[in-house]
Order: sequence, then C-alpha cells, then structure tokens
Amino acid sequence: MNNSENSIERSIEINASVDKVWAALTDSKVFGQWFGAHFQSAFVPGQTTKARNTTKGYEMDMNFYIKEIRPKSYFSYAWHPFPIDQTFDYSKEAPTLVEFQLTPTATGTLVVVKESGFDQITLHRRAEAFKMHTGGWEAQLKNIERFLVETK
Amino acid sequence: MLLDGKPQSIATLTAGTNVTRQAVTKHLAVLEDVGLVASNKAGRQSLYELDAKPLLSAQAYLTIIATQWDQALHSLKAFVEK
Repeated sequence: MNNSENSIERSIEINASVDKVWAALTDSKVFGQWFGAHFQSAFVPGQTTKARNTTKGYEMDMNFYIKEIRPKSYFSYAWHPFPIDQTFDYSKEAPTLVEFQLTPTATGTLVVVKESGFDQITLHRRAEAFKMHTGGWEAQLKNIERFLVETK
Repeated sequence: MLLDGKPQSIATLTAGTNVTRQAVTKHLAVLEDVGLVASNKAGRQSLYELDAKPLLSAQAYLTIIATQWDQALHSLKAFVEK
C-alpha cells in the first residue's frame, strides 16, 4: 500500500500466467467481464473507448482514454474516476492516469495498479464519491458475496 | 443501512444477506480507519455509526478509490484463476 495525496497504488498476486492476466487486462471484452462493464470497442493506444458500467448501483457511462500498451508488461489509460453524476460534463476536469504493471513471479503474476493525478479532484467530486460509496453499500455487500462464492 | 443515522450492530448489518460477518467486519474496519464510521461498545457487541464529517478530506477520497481498486483486483484474480 502506498497512498500519497496524489496517487494510490494497489497490488495482487494472481496464480496464473502473465499471458492469461494480460489478456484479461487488454482485451476490452474480457476486461469488461471482471470489471463489470460493456465496452463499445477494442483498446487502441491514442483512442477513446466508451463503456457502460453495469455493476448494480454503479451504472454509468465512462470513457477510457487508452494511453500506452507495452505487450505483457504495461497498460495505461486515463479516465474520470466514477463519473456518477451523468448530467455533469467531466471532460472539463483533468483526468487521472491508471497504470497496470505485470511482473512474472515463481507462482504466477504480480499485478500492480497505480492511479495518479488526484490533486486536481474537486471537493464536489469527493462529496460525490462518498455519496456513491455509502449509497452503494448494498451493492458492495453483493460484490463481496459474489467474490466469496466464486473463490470458495 | 448506516445512512439511517442510527448505530447498527454487525448482526443487523448482515441480517437478510448471505454475507459473512468477517466480510462486513473487514469492510467496516476500512471505513473506520478513515474515520467515516465510528464504533462504540454496547455490552458485548460494537455498534457502528456513520460519521460524515471527514467525507471531504482528500485522504478519505483516496481511500474510497483504493477500496474500489482492491475489489476490482480481487475480481480480476477470481476471474483469471477460475
């Protein structure tokens, strides 16, 4: 865990090959399956992919601005995190950058995700995220439940 | 349920769901760490209450985002390993 005012970093060990994890991250159809979203097109560097978040309680349209794809090691995109107020024009705000880094390990793959650029996030956005988080309480429990069932 | 404004026990928060006490306890601990939830001992059980005061702090915002990423990474792991 490494949180500063401007960025967050999280990591997880996955017991699967880098190839498998890479496909789940960079094939937009597969990404959508675990992330809970429908993507309209493939991830192409320099292009925007529109997505509809389908997670219950978090339904919203999102844009993924694909930045860089370095095969089997690095994938990055910019976005406006959790644009829950669908009447608000988020394109005026500075997006944050999401970076995935894959490293092979003895037992599989280490995935590190870093999101940065939060220094531009407004008070309004923080209040919104909070509202969404508490409002999504039931959805959160459902997600945890689904996760526990799947990993039993 | 915490939005009712009334202190709630873990038993109340898990009632009617199939979620384990451990899962709810873990989630509450995260919220308590950032000061969004306060707990008080009432006899043998703890009661949890929403505290909205720190909601506008940058740290609380980042913790919410980080929690979302934890969940997303767990979903990715479960998906790839199945």
